[in-house]
Order: sequence, then structure tokens, then C-alpha cells
Amino acid sequence: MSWMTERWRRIRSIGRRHEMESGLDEEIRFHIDQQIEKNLRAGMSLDEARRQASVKFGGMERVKESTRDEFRSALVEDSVRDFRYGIRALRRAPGFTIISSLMLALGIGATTAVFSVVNGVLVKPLPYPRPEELVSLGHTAQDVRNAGGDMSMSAAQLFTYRDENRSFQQMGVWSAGTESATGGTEPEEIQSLYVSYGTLRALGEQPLMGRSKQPWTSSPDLKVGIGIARTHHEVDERALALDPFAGPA
Amino acid sequence: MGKEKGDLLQGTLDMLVLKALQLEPMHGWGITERIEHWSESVLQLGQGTLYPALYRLERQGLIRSEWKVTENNRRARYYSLTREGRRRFSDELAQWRRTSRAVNLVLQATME
Repeated sequence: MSWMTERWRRIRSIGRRHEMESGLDEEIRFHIDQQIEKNLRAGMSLDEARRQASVKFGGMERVKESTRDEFRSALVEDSVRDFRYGIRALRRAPGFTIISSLMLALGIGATTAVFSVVNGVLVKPLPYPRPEELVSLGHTAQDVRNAGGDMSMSAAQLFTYRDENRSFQQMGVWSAGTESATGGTEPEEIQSLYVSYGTLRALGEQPLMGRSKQPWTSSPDLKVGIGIARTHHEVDERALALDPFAGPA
Repeated sequence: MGKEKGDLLQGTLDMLVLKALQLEPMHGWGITERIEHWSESVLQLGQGTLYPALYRLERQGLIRSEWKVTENNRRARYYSLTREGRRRFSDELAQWRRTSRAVNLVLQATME
């Protein structure tokens, strides 16, 4: 039998398997009825004919069960055979196998990479209370050519925003930088972030240690607090060895 | 459970079913009747083995089945041989003749 007809038969048998099982009850009932009629013709009483018929058939449930076992073992056999067939086919064509495995690997890898970026940036919310209310403000000017027109913010502008804005509950500024961490086994450069008082308030966070200084209303000074960026756990632990207010004044 | 009278040799049931269907399509009960009749009631098909066998043969593509109405107006599943089934039957028949002849030769052997 060629593999084409074999495939076709297999596909058809998936549908037939269901039909076969659903028809089994009716088929067995027919069988027993025929036997009862035969027994009646042989001169038995109806009760006796029925009894003899079911004795001869030998346990209807057992028959159904063993027929269903055939279905089930066929399912397993077919799967095993398909699996073997697949392996053999792949072995016969190693070039195809290698190329398709590579393409699958690349495809899965690329999809996973894109998904984790999208998940991190777009889907997963920022780890702060009410992240949907956080907004990033910035200044741009078309005539400024560096960094795509981005302009930094002066202290005067920040104070103006703070005093005049009606839209935001808290406002803060930050600036990224690096610090030298010494005192451990070897000195290290770690990433840091200079933040103003309002930044932590806006994020709804408390400093891990030390205390945040008074809000800038009472101390009109931008360098009110330094937080070590809590980007990951490792830095967190090392941050404990640092004085959070020990940054450059 | 003791060995029943007329227990079939392993593998012969399939061959007998194919033989029963060689002449005309039949339903399951007809197959048991026919085999019982032909064997002069020596072979009483354990009916619990017939239906699994029918399913197995159908899956192997040796027989096919369809629902038909009997002369008494009852729905019954009729089985018939496929071309593949006919070929398999003649193979098995030839094999059986060889084997049974060989077994007979052994059993009837005398010192020469």
C-alpha cells in the first residue's frame, strides 16, 4: 500500500472511529436480538431465549470494553507509528532537517525576544501604585540639534511647574549618573539616579534607608536627596552599604 | 476459566472472518452463524472477540462497513471485504494450507 492511500485511510479512520464506537451499542443490540429470535424459533420460551442469548454473547459490557480497547490501542499505535515515520523521514533528508530546525529555532527565538520586549515595555505595568497615572514630561526644541531636540529642565522651570500646574499631584526631577562604590572587596562603578523629593512621592515609594529631606517648599534646593537606582536585587544589597545621602553635594 | 471447546488458534479468527465475508457482505451476527454452521458447530465464536476483531480488520483496511436495513427492516452494520482484504485472505489461506499440511505430516509420521 502506498503511503498516500495509507495517509488517506488514516484520516478517514479518525472520523470512522467515532462512528464505530457510537454504533457499537446498536450493533450489539441487533446481535442479541437476532440470537433471541433464533432461540425462539428453536422453541424456547421468551425468558429462556433472552437468558440464553445473553449467556452466549458473554457479557455485553465486557465486549464493549474490549472493543473500545481496540480503539484506544489503535490511537496509541497510530501515534507511535506516525512518530517513527516522522523520525525516519527527517533522517533521510538531513539537509532539510537542519534547515527547518534552524528556521524553527530562529522563529521561536525571535518571537520570544519580541514578546519579552513588548511584555516588559507595553503590557506589564510599572511596579508602582497606580502606574497608569505616571506621566513623563520633557522639553523639546526643534532648533536644538543634540539628542533629538531634548532640552533639560532648569530649576526655575521646575519651580514654575510646581507652583503653577493644576494637573499633577506630585512632580519630581531626576538625573542619571554613576557612583564609585568602595569598601567592599573591590571598588566598583554602579549606576545611580539623582532624584528630587517629589520623584519618590510621585512614585509612591519610600527610601530604603535614611529619610527623604523636607519637600522643596521648605528647602528650595534641588539636591534634596539621592537614591541609588533600585534596578535589581544585587544593587539593592550593595546599596545597603552606601549612605544614601553621601552623593556629591 | 477452563479452555472452551473450539477455542480458536491465535490469529485464525481474522482469517475466518475474512472467509465468511468472501461470499457476500454480512453483519456481525451473520458472521458468527456462518462460522458456526460451516464448522458443524465445533467453532463457537466467543462473541466478545468478534467485534474487537471486526474493528481491527476495518482499521487495517481489510474490510469496510456500512449501515443497511435487513429483510426484517432492522438497521444493521454490514461488513464487506475490500480488495486489500481479498488479497490478504488468499495469502493467509495459502499460508494456512502450508502450515496445516506440515503439522499433519508431523502428526501422522511413522517410522519408515
